[in-house]
Amino acid sequence: MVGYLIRRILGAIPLLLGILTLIFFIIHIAPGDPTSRFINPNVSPRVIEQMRHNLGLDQPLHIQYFKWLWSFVRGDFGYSFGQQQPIKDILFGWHGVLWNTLQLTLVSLILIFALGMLIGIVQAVRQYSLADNVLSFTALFFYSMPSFWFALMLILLFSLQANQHHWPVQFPASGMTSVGYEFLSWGGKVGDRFKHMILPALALGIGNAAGVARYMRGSMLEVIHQDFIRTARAKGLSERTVIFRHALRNALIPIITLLGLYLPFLFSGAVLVETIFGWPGMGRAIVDAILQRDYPMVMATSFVIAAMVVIGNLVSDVLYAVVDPRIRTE
Amino acid sequence: MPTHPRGIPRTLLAAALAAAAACTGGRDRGGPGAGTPADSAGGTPERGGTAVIVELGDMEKPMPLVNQSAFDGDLSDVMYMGLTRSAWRDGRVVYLTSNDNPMALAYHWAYVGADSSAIRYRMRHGLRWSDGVPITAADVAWTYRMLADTGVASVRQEDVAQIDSVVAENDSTVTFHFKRRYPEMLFASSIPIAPQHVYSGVPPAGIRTHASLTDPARGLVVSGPFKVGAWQRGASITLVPNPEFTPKPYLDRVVIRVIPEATTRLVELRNGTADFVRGISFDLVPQIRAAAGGWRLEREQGRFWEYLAYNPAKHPAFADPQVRRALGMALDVPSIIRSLGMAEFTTPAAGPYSPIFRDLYDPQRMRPLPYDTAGAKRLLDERGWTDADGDGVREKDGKPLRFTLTTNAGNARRNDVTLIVQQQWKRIGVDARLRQLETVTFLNSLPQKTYEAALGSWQVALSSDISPLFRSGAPQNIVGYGSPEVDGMMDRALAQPTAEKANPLWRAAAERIVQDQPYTWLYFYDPLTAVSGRLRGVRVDSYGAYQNLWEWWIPRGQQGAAARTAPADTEKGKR
Repeated sequence: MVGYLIRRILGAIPLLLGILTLIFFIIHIAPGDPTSRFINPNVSPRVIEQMRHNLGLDQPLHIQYFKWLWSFVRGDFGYSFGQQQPIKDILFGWHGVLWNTLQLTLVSLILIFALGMLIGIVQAVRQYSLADNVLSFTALFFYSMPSFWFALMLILLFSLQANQHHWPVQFPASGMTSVGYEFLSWGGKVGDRFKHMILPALALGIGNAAGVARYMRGSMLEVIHQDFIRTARAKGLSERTVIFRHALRNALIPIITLLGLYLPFLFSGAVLVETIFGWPGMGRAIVDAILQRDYPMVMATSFVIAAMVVIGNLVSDVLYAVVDPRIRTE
Repeated sequence: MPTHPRGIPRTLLAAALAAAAACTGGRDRGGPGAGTPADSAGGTPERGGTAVIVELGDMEKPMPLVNQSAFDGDLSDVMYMGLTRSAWRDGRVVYLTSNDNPMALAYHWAYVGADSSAIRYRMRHGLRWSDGVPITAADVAWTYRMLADTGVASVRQEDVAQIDSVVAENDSTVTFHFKRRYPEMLFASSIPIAPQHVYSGVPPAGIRTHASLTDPARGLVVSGPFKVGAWQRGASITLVPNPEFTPKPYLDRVVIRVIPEATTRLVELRNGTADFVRGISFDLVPQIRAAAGGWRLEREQGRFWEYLAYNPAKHPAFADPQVRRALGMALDVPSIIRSLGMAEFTTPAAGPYSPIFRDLYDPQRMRPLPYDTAGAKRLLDERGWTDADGDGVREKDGKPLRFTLTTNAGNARRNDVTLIVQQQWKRIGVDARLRQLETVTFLNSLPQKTYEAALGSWQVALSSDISPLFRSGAPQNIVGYGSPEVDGMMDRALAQPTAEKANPLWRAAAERIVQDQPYTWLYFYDPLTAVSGRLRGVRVDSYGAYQNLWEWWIPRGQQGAAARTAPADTEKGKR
């Protein structure tokens, strides 16, 4: 397995380089550059030329590309043109935007799969019942809802209306922490962070959970009609054992594929949700970088997302082996 | 000389974004150009409490030498002192000494030299940076050397282009020698000062990436009333009082939260979890007025003008001033303003000078074009643009009067305005096709002159100098305007030693430009900020929103209002 993983990671390197090279040239083709935001009667064109020179933007594109490539292969993401800070400080570390987004996406992932699988199993076991129909309708309702609209509805309901009408449960509309967070106790800090995470995690997760529920229902239905399930029941096993030990494990394989796909998908979905909730994560960093034509930042964030695709697929493959012994032996 | 009497010029991008977030003021300002006192909520200022500000974006480089964004400029105004403190009073920029404003380093200034082309400043004694090091005239001289240095590439570089030298005569006396006497010498020497002892160890090109700017909470050394206490990138900035600054600010802390989404900002406002919310769009005003909490709306009056720009290089009709005039006459600007609910926050525009300028705005000689559809049709007929084939669109020499009107995407107001303009032009046989471009792409299309017609806005610089927009061949002359007569007038105006002598020439140049109608001036509008009822002492006017942060205060009985989100914070405030 270890050898397999190493082979997969090595195989991903040319793929990542290819993706990044493509992005490098596409973002440079887009009109404007990092100095475009200084277009203003009050800023001399001479100053803008100096800025372009200082940033190396007056060099030929292929030189810029090789300079970026040389830094990149040495693990140096460079400086953000927009924020003029080392990109590693912006992206990584305890206060980096990557960790902020990971917190959100991991909670969402847990929500997506816990909720989605549970609903799917209930629906499959109670096929064509009232519960199945109601859950199908509800799942489709949330699945069809754009995440940005759902996010705004959550804010209006559970923050604004809850506050105006003094509901017992209220959530903050934005941010990762409250004003005065630093003065809270350790437990208070954990609670405060959790409270801030609920609405964005729901906005990011509910629609996808509905999708997982549909997949789970289909996959479970396929499995529970197979002969080995009938055999298990004939052996006198309890329904709980039949469903959770025999059927679920076999029905998980297509769901694990979804796990690999959802990790990068959540990162892209976080773009809108993070903007609406004022969450200082990767999604907002990407949008700001693109709007400001912050080339090094665009490249670094693209790399992180591309790496997430690779990691997501790898995690899927490892989990396949966990649930299906045949893959392990191969 | 392009100048901007603020910490930093607001970028055009900021203008575009601000257009999406146009603002209003709920209080009567006593007419254009009137000076604005700090709010009149009354009471004796009380110490303590945390004010929560909501901004659209995060800070980048809040240091006078390397400010990048408009918000950086605002923070520089809060954290750094200049020799004098600029302010907006009665339709003019004034330069206050420490006798009138504690943010000024100098208590006295005087023109010196035979032709008065130098200014000598006397600085206060005993002033210190936030790390305890004395502030001296050497800091001033070094700051101005750096502002002029190409390695630093400061956006203020052009503002100091007329300075010949800055000489620190002793620790508290500094003299600015200018290349010539001109009206904006005080402005050029009022830029906030940076600490030499922090940055002199790195080459000029390294200042922008100095460690103090990477970790401003630990490293930023300031002279103003507040310093950065904590920074959560992209989320919040906590400002705490600088112990070296006198007078001590009333507030214990100011927390600036970053919330890009307008609806979320409104929810924070209505939930009472914010005190000072920037970037309020006009359509949100009724909701804010209906919200509990005694919210008031403050305006930075007349700081942007919205225009229709015509590019003569892309359509032959735009080369004819009479056609441009006809296009302007076909638009009922007051009805556009009314129908979009902006009447309270906009003024129909007649020319490049905002009504806020007491000495430059001349409503008698420059009036908005009359709304006259028949007159517009007659003008177009006279210029040979007629609808010979009866398809509803005029043409001349086989070229139809059809073009693309471009604006930036994501700005609901501009989208609405372009739709109305399209309909009103249609009535006189002009076919405008609408197009929206991503903001940076749109902004680039203007100086590169790849657009045909565009709806955009410029920020109003608090300066008389309009030459960057209208001089022949100037890079920001996006309409390709060129008039030797106007160029001559502007040159003569720039050569005058005083504003009194220059202003008549600027007014004459503006009048001549308006006759040629290179733009259709639509309206001047005011950026808006919502301020909660508990926040007192706030002064917002055309100069900006953060000009007296040390005077903001919250009545003691209301300092716990934020306790809903931060109970422990209030306790700390009491300690």
